[in-house]
Amino acid sequence: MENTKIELFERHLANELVNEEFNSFQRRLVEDKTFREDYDDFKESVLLIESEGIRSELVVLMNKRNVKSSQYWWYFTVAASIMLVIAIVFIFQKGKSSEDLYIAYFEPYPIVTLRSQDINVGLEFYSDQNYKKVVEVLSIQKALTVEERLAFGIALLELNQIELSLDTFEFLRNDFSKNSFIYRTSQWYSSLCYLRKGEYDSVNQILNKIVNDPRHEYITEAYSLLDDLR
Amino acid sequence: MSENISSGIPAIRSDALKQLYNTCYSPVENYVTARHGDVEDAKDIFQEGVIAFFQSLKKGTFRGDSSHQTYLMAICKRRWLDVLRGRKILVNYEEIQVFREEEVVFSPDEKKLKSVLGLLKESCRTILLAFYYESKSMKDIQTLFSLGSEQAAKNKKMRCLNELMAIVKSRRLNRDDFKL
Repeated sequence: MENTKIELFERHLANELVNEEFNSFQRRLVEDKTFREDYDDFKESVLLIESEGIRSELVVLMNKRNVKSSQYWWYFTVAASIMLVIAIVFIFQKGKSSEDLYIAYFEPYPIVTLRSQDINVGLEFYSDQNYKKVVEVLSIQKALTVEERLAFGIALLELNQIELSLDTFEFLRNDFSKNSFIYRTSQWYSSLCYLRKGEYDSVNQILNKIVNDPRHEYITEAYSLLDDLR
Repeated sequence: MSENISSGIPAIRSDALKQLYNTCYSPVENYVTARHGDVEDAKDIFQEGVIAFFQSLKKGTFRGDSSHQTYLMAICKRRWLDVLRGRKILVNYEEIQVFREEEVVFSPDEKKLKSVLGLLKESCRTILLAFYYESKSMKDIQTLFSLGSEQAAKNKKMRCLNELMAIVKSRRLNRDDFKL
């Protein structure tokens, strides 16, 4: 295609055509099929280039975030180790009852709610750690999302309704593959259910599965809890 | 602010892109990883979602009925459910219903996008990006690519654009490939 035509297209796309130039361009779009098709091809090509630019810029942003995350991860690991030592000393001093261990190891999973579109009272109560209200609200809800079911199970665990909590985590484990994060999270909280019940064999069984999965998010906690149970 | 990702001014567009990434990536990652996906899947879906959002802004098909974040999230969710179906993973029926109700655009298939641009020489792709995306002047392009003159830079850019347009046209004016 001749350069003058492309330059004309570029000026139209950049809103640089004025008065008669613009009107004549619009007329040609209506009357001249080849001109219209060429302009469509031009716009499509520019859009492809721009989309590629957006993609490249996003890749750079994501890579930067990965580098930052790994730095934060180091600080987090150090802080978590210190907390763990404090927790272990605390437990040791008090004598390791299953409830003590449960209290030391239980952390509510930080569920991120998409508040802009998913206005959900149950998850709001969950982030306020108002577990009684979480159970109240979610137990009468018709269908639960994955996040809600996870919150429901954790709330039941905190309210010491262990059997129902175990059922909820089992439901999630059955619904997701072993490679999924939800499966692994449910696995960890199931171990805490058994811990609270004082069923150490079941706790050990689950924790041993966790420590054998190098990708498991709760591998550090599982190793530590296994040590405490010995 | 997010609509500035379609701005022609690179600095404004970059800021908007960063903001979009900071506010929307984590929810997308949480959504994907909670539904049989991993972080790499989440990154791919997010890229496709942002590109689809960008294209709908450029084409004027984003009506603004919902917030940008909601719209982008809906695109990503719908795209992820499509991927799951493609992987023969059962998807919760209720979730599909929810997304059908939201009139969101389909994201472009990134493989197709890459395959078209992949047919261009690297130097052509870089020059076209410099001109159309980074808004660099012909003088800058001449210097960047060590070309003899501004006119030489302009000729090269025109040749590259013509090559790309020929590919676009040859693909059955493959409009179906790029349709949103």
